[in-house]
Amino acid sequence: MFRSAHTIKGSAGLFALDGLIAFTHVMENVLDRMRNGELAIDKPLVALLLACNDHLRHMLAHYRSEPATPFPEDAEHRRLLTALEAHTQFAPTAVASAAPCPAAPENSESGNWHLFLRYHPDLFQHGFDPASFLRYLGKHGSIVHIHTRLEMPATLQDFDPTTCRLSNELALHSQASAADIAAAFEFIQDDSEIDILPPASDYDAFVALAARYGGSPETHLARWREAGYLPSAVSTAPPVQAPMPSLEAAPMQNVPQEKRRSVDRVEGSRFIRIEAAKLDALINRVGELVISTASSRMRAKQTADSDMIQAVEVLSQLVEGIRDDALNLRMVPISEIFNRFPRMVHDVSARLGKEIELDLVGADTEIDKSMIEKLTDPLMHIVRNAIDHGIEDAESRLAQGKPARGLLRLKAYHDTGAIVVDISDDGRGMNKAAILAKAQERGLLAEGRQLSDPEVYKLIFLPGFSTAEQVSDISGRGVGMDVVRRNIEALRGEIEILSTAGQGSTLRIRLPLTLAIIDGFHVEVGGSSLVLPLDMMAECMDMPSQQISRETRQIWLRDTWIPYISLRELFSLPPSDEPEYVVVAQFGQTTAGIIVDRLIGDIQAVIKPLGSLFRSLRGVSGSTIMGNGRLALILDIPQLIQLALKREDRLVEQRQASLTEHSIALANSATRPI
Amino acid sequence: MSMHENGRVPANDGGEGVAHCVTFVLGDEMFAISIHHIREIIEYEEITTVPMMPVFIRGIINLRGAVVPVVDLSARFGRPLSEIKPGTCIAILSIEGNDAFSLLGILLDGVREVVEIPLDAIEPAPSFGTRLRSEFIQGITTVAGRFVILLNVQKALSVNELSELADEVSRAHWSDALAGETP
Amino acid sequence: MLVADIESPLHIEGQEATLTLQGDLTIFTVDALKDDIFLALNCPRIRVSLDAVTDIDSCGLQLLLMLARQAQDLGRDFALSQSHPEVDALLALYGLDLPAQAAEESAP
Repeated sequence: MFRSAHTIKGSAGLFALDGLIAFTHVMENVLDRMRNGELAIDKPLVALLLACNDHLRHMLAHYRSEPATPFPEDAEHRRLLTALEAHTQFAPTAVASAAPCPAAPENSESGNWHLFLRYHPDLFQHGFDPASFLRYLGKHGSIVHIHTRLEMPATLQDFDPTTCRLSNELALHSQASAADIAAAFEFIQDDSEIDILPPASDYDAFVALAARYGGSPETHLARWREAGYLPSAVSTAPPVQAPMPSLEAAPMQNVPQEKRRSVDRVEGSRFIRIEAAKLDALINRVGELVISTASSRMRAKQTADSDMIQAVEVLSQLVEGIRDDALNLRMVPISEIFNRFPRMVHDVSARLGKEIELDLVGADTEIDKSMIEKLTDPLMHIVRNAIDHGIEDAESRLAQGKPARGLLRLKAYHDTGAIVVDISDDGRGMNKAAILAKAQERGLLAEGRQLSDPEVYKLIFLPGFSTAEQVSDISGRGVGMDVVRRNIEALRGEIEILSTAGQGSTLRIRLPLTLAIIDGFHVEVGGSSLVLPLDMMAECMDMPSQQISRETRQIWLRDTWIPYISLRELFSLPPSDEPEYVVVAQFGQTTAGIIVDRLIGDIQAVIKPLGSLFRSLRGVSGSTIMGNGRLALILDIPQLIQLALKREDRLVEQRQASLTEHSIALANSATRPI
Repeated sequence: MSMHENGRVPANDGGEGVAHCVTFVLGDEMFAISIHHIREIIEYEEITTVPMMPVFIRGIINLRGAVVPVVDLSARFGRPLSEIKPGTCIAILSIEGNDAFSLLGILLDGVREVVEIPLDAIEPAPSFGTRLRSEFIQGITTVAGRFVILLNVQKALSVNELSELADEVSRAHWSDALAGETP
Repeated sequence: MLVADIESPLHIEGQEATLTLQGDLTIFTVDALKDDIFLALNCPRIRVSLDAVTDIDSCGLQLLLMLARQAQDLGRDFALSQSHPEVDALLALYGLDLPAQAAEESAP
């Protein structure tokens, strides 16, 4: 029953049903004291609890029908609360027994369980409190030693105080079964890392655990040795008796300053903090190193001195390694962004009176730190939109045969040299007709053009599409989807919409792995050097003389026609009189051929932005300095593929139209006497 | 009207009442730019062409790790592109933009000198007689008996205006390409 | 139960910052308290009064611990000016302690 009351409280916490939380909280306190044996169970108490049970059912029924309105706190409510509170006073004995019993410390081999509890960052947000697990354990035995670790956030300015940064290690003296002890963590074992070592576990079990902990295993083992967790037989140091928990809990003034036990420093063993600027300086320096190595490599090749070439080759491989390591320093799990969503989704959906389940997938996908801040706002905006406009209210969901509770999924994953973040909902989907009507009304639509579905959806990204009309407390705020798109494009990313009417939408954001350095492939067109991101290249081949349709600009690649772009044509250069090459480029599900004059080879490209003068330039994403000190342009493959695909559609359409005209003309001429 | 033909006049030597300028020739006209705008003058190096941009943007160069666009002033003023000759060099100007200074290179032919022009010898821009937009002209004067146009760099090379022109050209180019026309 | 209309808990006078925490110190209030709590770190002496705290959970405790740890790292003189049975019980459960103000200090 305690567990149920606690779960109700936790779940109520998720949905901010304040009245329910307050009530169950008091109830939980009473139950807790009963469980601790602080309260004798007598008839009046049982009657009170039964009455509370009925009342709780009453409250739940209310919130089910009217989730947005607070429960009216009637006389019965007040009577029960007062009666419950009378049982929750903090008696001095309660304080004493809430603290772990100062039992004589046990020899670690004689029967202590060792528990290692690394709580999930979202633990608090999911409505759980580690303290309740510890109290529960206290009922199954005595906690002879406990160690609480706190991981400090990198900065105090913008961390989320509702993220759980605590972890515990404890020794439990208990006769309970493994199942009983594990049962304490039933609700959190899926997310949190709960390791339980039974009494008399051997040294190797601790070593294996230390290895799984991350950071330096020796540090963990040393700490556990000091705490007396390790079996003495193998322990190199003499077994240390576990410190008395009562001593640790003793008031400060009784303990000399130096001996004060403070919260352990997790980052001391696993992380070091580095100022972001220092990291950036390092990455810049590595960028210069990459450039000058490329230049040495070129000079070495000119000397034709094979020893020299060999030596520089080794050097450049090492530099490549350093480059990867340096860039890796900036990679952080995307959970840094994802962790903000449970709370935000809960707040927004509560305000809108919608029930929403948030599913976070791939939170450990790594992303360049510098993208984190720039990605957070657009994601927040998209999620707000999805809750506000995408997901319907419970009533109309039920009417459509959907579950009342809407599903919102944030999913991050790697795909062909990009990081993809999908924001999906199972709501009403995009309303094509409404978007078209609105675009028409705002004058954003060219006359007489048939738009494909993705083209229609993309209209919402046009400046001036979202306006005051749809400004609500939740989305709106004067920021339109055009700002979202601009933010994503500033990260050299792309955004795409997939939607099925009545079934939901997915906004897919595709971002480059890093902002600083890429592996590129060097090509030439009309004497200019160009670089393609290597991870978007599928293959290179000679320009075919057959199996090519120059009219529609398509080439036959194995079993399908793909569109191609001649860079000479795009750049308004005269056609080449030498054989050309096709680079087959891929981005997500799209493929296109890019025709170049010459293929040169691999190159490491430190990306340099082009500056504001080139802000409207498409097809080129930046520049890079080559080994000879000259600049090369980096091609924007996603944009070029888009261009190729759109043009292909149009050319094929035109061709069919002219063929039809042609055949009509032929048919006409055939009927005429010649 | 006093004249200073000596190209060796140091920048700080003039004191009040004179403007230190670099003179250069475009086509058949002589221009001057105040040295305040000039960060440095470097030898001509090969410029990386940026496609789909207006002709007056010759491309970009690597200036010690920074990417600097190079503008062809002659083309900017609607005249033919400057020819690259043995003595051609690139003046790196610092232009005040909306929120920051940006670097911009301009092509200069080899014939150039630093001159000291007394402020009182500078006359306002005439409303006729030049082929330039009058707002591009700070004033006119004569140096060594030659008519010289003192450029208003901030206007003639306004980052805003150049960017807008570039926007127009690159957008048009892209939509032509989309339509399947050979631009 | 929310600390909605309580004015800033932070009071700074000279070298000393006093944080008078009231109401609940829980997951529902930490966001609102966070900035004030860390503003106190600007002062060499920090005193935290928990007298008027009605409820604390581990999330609230975590915020207190962070303040204490950061204060220690910055060499600040940090102490709780009032002990509180519920806070003490929670600290004890975790095997932790926080510096308490010396007895003579609290004399008027």
